This record gives sequence, structure tokens and C-alpha cells, in this order.
Amino acid sequence: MEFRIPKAEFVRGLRLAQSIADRKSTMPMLANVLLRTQGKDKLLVAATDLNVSLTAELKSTNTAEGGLTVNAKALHDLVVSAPGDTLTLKRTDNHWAEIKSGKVNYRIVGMPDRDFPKVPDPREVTFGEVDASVLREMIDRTLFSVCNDETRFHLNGVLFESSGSKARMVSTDGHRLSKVERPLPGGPQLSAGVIIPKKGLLEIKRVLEGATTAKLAVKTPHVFLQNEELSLAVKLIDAQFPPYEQVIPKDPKRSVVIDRALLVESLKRAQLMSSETRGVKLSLAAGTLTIASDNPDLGEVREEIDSDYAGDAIAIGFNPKYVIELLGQMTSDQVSLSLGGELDPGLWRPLGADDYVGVIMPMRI
Amino acid sequence: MTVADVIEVLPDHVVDQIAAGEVVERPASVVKELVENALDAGARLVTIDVIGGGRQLIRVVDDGRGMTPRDARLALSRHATSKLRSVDDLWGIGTMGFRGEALPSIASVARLTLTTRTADALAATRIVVEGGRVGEVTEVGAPVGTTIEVADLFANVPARLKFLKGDATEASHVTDAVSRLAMAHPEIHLRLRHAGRVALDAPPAPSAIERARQLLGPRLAGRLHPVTVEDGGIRVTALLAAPELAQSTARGVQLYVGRRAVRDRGLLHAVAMGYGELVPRGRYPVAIVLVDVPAGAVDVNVHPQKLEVRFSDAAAVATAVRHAVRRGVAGAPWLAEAASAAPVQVRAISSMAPPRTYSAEPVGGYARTPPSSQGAFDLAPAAAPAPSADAWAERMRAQIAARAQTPRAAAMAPEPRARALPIVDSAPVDDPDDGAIAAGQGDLGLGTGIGLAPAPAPMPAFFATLRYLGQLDRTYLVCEGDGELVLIDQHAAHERVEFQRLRERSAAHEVPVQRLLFPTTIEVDAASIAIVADAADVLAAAGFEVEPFGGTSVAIKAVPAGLRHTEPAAVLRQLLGELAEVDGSRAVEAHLDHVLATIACHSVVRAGDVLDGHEAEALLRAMDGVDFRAHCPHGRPVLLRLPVGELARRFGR
Repeated sequence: MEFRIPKAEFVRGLRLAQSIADRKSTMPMLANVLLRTQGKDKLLVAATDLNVSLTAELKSTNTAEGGLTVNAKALHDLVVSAPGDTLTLKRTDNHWAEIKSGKVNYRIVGMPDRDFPKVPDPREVTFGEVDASVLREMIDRTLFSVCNDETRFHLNGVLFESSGSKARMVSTDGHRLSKVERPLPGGPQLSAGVIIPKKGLLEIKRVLEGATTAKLAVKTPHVFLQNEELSLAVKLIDAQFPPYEQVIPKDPKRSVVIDRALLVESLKRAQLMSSETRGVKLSLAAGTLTIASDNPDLGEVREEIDSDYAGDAIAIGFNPKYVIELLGQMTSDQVSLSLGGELDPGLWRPLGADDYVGVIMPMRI
Repeated sequence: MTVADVIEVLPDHVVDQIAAGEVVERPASVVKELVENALDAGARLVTIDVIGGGRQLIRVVDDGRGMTPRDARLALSRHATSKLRSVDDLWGIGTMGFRGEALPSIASVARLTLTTRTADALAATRIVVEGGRVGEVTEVGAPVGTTIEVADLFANVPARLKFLKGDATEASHVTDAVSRLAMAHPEIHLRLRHAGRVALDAPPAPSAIERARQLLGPRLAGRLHPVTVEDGGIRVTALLAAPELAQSTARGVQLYVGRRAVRDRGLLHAVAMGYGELVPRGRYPVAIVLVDVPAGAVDVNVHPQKLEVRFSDAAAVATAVRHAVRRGVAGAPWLAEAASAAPVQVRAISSMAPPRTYSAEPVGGYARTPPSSQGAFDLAPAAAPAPSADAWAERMRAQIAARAQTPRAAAMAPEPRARALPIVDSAPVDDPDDGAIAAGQGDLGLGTGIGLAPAPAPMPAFFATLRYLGQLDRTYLVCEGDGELVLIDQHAAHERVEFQRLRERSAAHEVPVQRLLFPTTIEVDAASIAIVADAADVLAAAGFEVEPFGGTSVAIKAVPAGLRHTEPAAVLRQLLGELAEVDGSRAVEAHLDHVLATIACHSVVRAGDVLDGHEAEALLRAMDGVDFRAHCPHGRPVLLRLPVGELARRFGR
């Protein structure tokens, strides 16, 4: 095996590969990246942690066929620091890789490519082209409320539903939920939602960087994403997402519209005075919203904001972190908060055409 | 001066009530006696209905042999029994009962209706007894077998009624009693309903382990490791749970001797010994141990409720149990993981607390127990010298009386199960360096409320006098004390300090509660289900909203804020266990401690954190302010003390 490749081209493939390669795995092979020539002018670069797999088809000039795996991080760092504009890589005896760039010669240890796990092949699926910025926005707006507790794996990802023209993403950690809907023409036509794990979504975001369009496909048990020469296959979480529609309040009795920036600022001030276990109290009375919190170790804070509220007085406690994170994903100037009773979920929406809701369960304080 | 004759023979109904005082302590004991009768009558299916925790109604329906009208009437008079003919029969008795006391005793303190029919009889006999007076005898239609209804228990004994606890607690005792009977008799179908809700349904099971699965729920039963050992005629069958399931109370250890659930400190200790260091001090393993001894080697006629037995060779039985448990533990699949956690084998004085004095606790009747020194291998509190049973009973009475008078005092009283712990004497100890002072380990501190406890006497600044030498393995602070080497677990120490701070801070506040979008369901045991239903308000005060979810599942709808996702389930299980054991308010207090301790555990230095000298010294100073009676329920020791003399001995000087 021997090939020549432009440095910039090689780096583009290796950068993502080394972030996916799993250094901590008990399988040493997973820390490696697979390099395999394809025909005369293509190089396949692949990395996987068995859940997220990257394959890149890079342009190269191949002089001898074959494959090899080497440590992904080492190869990436080495290529980045190489002096020349092009590199040549040659497999020698005992799976050593000999790399030349300019006047520099490297020899690094490798492992045979036949031991590399089989990665899902993007050539076997049918892609649809979607707007990359919409996809990225939908991920941002739901990723923050994914549950990080690994024992509840059905909540460790974002639910993705897609009809081919519209798409929906939902995430929840059991305390709060966020749901976003967008038109997504070209998206897959799914009969049921799929759960994309958090790590996979982070990698999808990386692949989407700088792209205007991307190709998307779902073929269980994977979701595939392709941006030019990079293809990502993310293993879906095989579990039942909770019935989220049931917990989104249908017809809350009370509703108030608040200036988003003002509320976020106020909540941040209140957060300074609340310990990690204590919430912030939002009290609504005619014309005002009072935000208050206290911490026996520190002191207390109270702030009043004008509001359009006209209903009967009610006070409800929230974890300020949940509200701030949610409001941070909204873009409208005004947001609405709809409430049932003081122990019922709070429904937050941006004012305007943005099809986005957040549900936050209250705290009893 | 003339002296009149004053001594009289007591009338029968008084005699019965006195007997009832011994046999019938609470609804659960009524259930136990009645179900045992049913078993003795050859029943295959026994259905128990309980309403109002047993205070309103207990109904036990069996499909046993039934009684003839003559026997039915006779059964209600004292010392009438079909099970015993001569004193010699007492040894090697095959039936559960034999004294002929249960029915008349129960009848003397409640309204009892007995309906019974034998297979030969055309009609059933029904007898109603009220307050010990046998009323009308009628003929009614009924299936073969016996039905006994006990209504308005203790209605005519207000003193006894007063000592009953809440319905939820009594109901859980009933569930416990039935569950134990079911464990001892796997071939019988037992069904228990609390107010119509099935609390326990145990169809005939082919083996003890199968029965345990039915009773304990899949979570626990899945981790039981069975072992059977027979030695010298003593047969021990033990179902052992993994050490990490250890509990803070001995409730998880179920002992059976010849198909009777018994309490036996010696056997309990033997079980704990069998687990060795795998279960930390102050905690008890979860295990079911069934012991069979040859006929004649055990006397069951010792305790009015037959809760205790006497072995002709108690030591041999204890040894057999210890060996069986040890062998089971050694062969269990979970040993490999846990073995690495076993403590270092150094004999040293290890205690939860620094040498210090305690002020008097206003607990009546606690006998002075001499301070005892405990080696690192004293596994469980059971190892401490146990006061005699009489003294214990005496203390219990005093404690109950104290509780009845003032709830505040009750809240401070150490819990009964802590009875065998070395109780620190109320008088100041002259020599503060006497390393023998063992603070309340295990559960002693759980019941004491911080707001209620009297201010402790000024403490000698033990920790501040230590000279900090350095850190070992980034985990232990190595200090020089007065003539000793002191090792302090930095994580445990900081956790204690932080816990105390959180606790003081939260004393005046309610627990913040985070409600959940999607209820989480967890598996609990049958007894806990009844508590979940009946003690919802107590649980709510503790920050949990919980509802029965069918079978042995419960749904958690709100949790104390600040706990991570996986923790609420563990904390809730602990709380349910404590609720079954003690009154609501005390369990909540203990629970709050647990929640706070868990939160404290998040925010403190861990093993593996490097501490510099100043930090270490600040931690030592803070330790002096910690009230060690209020230690966190995690209950690991904070310090290990190696006297110089011990070092000298090891160096052969």
C-alpha cells in the first residue's frame, strides 16, 4: 500500500476521525484510524467508537493497493505538523507506516486493517438533501435538555421525527422538555421517531459546520449524514421515548408575556442567590412579575418586572438554570409563560412564528 | 389492728386479658396467631383481609379441616387445644401452636366471629365472642374451613390501643408478619389485602428461593445467592443478598427456625459474622436464613409469641449458620467485585468519633453500658455486649412511656434497634483520651433531631491538637496525636463537615422538591407498597411524591431537589425501610439526613484530591465543630487510630 495525498485534504479527514476514535476503549483498535486505498485516486479514512462512525473518501494518488490502521491522534498531530504540502504514506513490514513529507521521514507502528471493525457503509443508503442550518438549529435547541444520566439511556438522546417535509426534535431529562418543529424538505420519511444519542449529535454538528446543505438518511439502526466527502453513521438508541405530547400542557389557565432579555438578566441575578438545590420563585400578580430567591448561606434577592399579567396571583418555583438555558435558545424579544397551578408544568414559548416550546416542571420551595 | 383478707383469684376475663397482653401485642400478632392456626388446620389457601391497619378488622379465611360445633366452642376457652396432649409433646412439636391460648386471648380484647365447617357437616357453626363473653351460636352456610373475623381490636383495652402506631405502620407490620409466614411455608398460598388492595399474593412455590422471589420483588431476589449446608443434624438454608444491598437496620435479616420466624441475637450476629468485612459496621446484610435442627434440640415454648427459641446447643447452631453464610458468601458471584473493597487487616481502634464527652440525653431508663473498645473487626453492633433481655424490655417500657408523655423526648430517644450499641454514659468521662468511647455508630444518631438535641458539653479540641504530617495516597490525612498515629479519611471527614453545615442551614426550611415530567417507576417490596399508599403525607414532607403503580412497583412523581437522577430511588427505598420501622416524623428526619448527606457527598473533596497543609489543617479544625451523633447515614468511619504501643508491638520492641 502506498499513496500520495495533499496535506490539507488529509487533515480534513483526520480531524474528525481523531475526535471520534475512542482512546479509552478496552479495544485498542478503536483508537486507530483506518486507511484503505480505493481504486487509483481515492483513500478511505474511517474511525469508529462503535456508536459513531466516520468515513471520508479523500482524493489521493495511489501507487499500491492495500490498507492499514494507525493511531488516529498520533497520525493527525503528525500530519498537521508536517512541513510539506503533500505526504506519501507507505506500508512496510509488520504494519509499520512510513510517511514522507518534504525532508521529514516518519515511521509509526500500525495494525492490520483486517482487524478494524466493519463500519456502516453510506453507499448502501438513499440520502435526501436538507438545509444544514435548519438541522443545526434544531439540534442546538434540543441538545441542552438531553439527560446525562447513563442509566436512563432512553433519555440520552434527542427524538427525531420527520415526515419528508416537516421535522421535529424533542429532548427531555425528566425535569424539563424542549420541542422544536421546522419544515425540512428532503428529510427522511419516518413512520416513527428515532432517538439520536447526544454524542452523535455533537459529531453531526461538527460535520455540518460551514455547510449550507447536507444529505440525511435514516436506516435503522443508524442515522447517516453526509457533507461532501465526509459521512457519519450514528447508531440510534434502541428504546422507547416517553410520550412527550402528554406532558405538554394543552390549555393552561394563566398566561403572561415577558421581555426575554430582561427575564434572563433577572434570573441570572436571582441564580447568584440560590444554592444548587433551591429554586427561584416567580410570583405573578396583576401587572407585575416578581422574581425572588434566597440562600440561607448568602442572603436574598427580589426583583420586580412589569408584565401584562391580568389573572389571579400565583407563585411558582423553578430551577433557574433550566429557564435560563431554555430562554437562551429562543430568539424572540418576548416570551410567553403559561401556567396551570403552582405544581403544574410551566409552558414557555417564544412570541412569534417560531415553532418551539419548552416545558419545565416546577419546584416546590 | 386487723388485717382483712386481700388476696383474690382473678376472674377469668381478667386472666384472659393479661394473657392477651403477652400474646396479642398488635394487629400483626393477631394475624400471625390466626394464620398459624390455619396452617395447623391443614389449609392450602389462606386469605387475610385487613382494614385500618388491623384495628378495624382482621379477617382470616382458610380452607383447612374446620371444626365440629363442640370443638369450635371449646376452642374459645383457654388452654383448649388439639395440638398437645402431654408435656412431653412439647419437645419436637410439629404444629405452629400448642398452648390453646391464642383464640381466647384475642377474643378477650376484640369482637371475634368464628365461622367453621368440617367436610362432614351440613352447616357451618358461627360463634360471636365479644370482650371475652361467648355470645350466640348459630348455624350458617359457609364453605369448608374456618373464617375468623376480629373487629375493633383493643377497643376494650384503651391502654393498649394508645400504644399502637399509625395505620400505615401497623399495616406494614402485618405485611411483614404474613411475609415471614409465607417464607416459612412456601407450599401454602397466602394472600393479604389491606383495605381490599392486594398487598401480598404468594401462590404455592416449589422452593424457598422461589418463595423469596415472590416476596422480595425481582430487584432483590435477582441478587440472592442460595446455599444449603447440613452439618451434625443442623441444616441451614441461606439466601444471601450481595453486600452492597446492606441496610441500616437488621430488618433485612430474616431468621427461621423450624419454620418459625424468630428473633435471635446470636443467629443475627452469626449471619453478620458470616459476611465478614463485606458489610461495613453499623449496617446489616440482607439475608434469609432457615435453620432446621433435630427434634428435641430446640424449645419453642420460651416466648409468648414464640418469637424466641432456645437451643440445647446454641453455640453449635450459631457456628453452623456462620459457616453456611461464609460458604455462601465465598461462592457467591458478587464476591469478586466486593473483595477488593475489604479493609486493610490492621488491628486498631477505629471509631466514628474523636474522644469527647457527651451531655446527658433525657432518655429514661437507659442502662449504663460500660464503654467498650472495638477492634477493627467488630463487624456489627451485634458484636457489642448485649444487655439482658429483661433490661431491654425494661428500657423499652420506659421509652414508650416517655414517648407517650412528650413527643419531643420521643424524637430524641435513640431507636430501639440501637439497643446493643455501646451507649455513652451521661456523666462526663474523666479521661478524654480514652479511645474506648464509641459514638453512636450505625443508626443511633439517625433519630436525633438537631434542633431538639441539647447542646453538647464543651468538646475537647481533639482534631485541632493533631499535628498534620502529610497525605497518604491522596486519600488519608496522616496526623500525630497524643501517643498515637491518627489516619483520617479526607472525603468522609469533609462530608461530615459539609453535612453538618447543610443540616443546620436546612433546619428551618422545608425540603425543596423538583417535580418530574415523567414519573419514574421503581420496584420495592410488598411491605413498602402499603406504606406508600398510607403514608403519602409523610413522604411528601420528605420531598417525595409517590404512588403505588401496581404489583410491587411505585411511581415517583417528585423528588427532593439536588439529588442526581439515579439517587432518588436509593434514598426512597431507604426511607420506606425506615418508615416501616419507626414513626413517620422520625423517619422523615432520618431521611432528610440521608438526602443532605447525599448532597453533601457531591460537594466535598474526594479521595484522590491533593490537599495542601493549610487545607488539611482547616479541615481538622472544622472537624472539631462537628456533632458526631449527627453523622451521615453513610456511616463509614472517619478516622483510624493506631496507638504507639501497637506500633511498638508490631516492631517487636
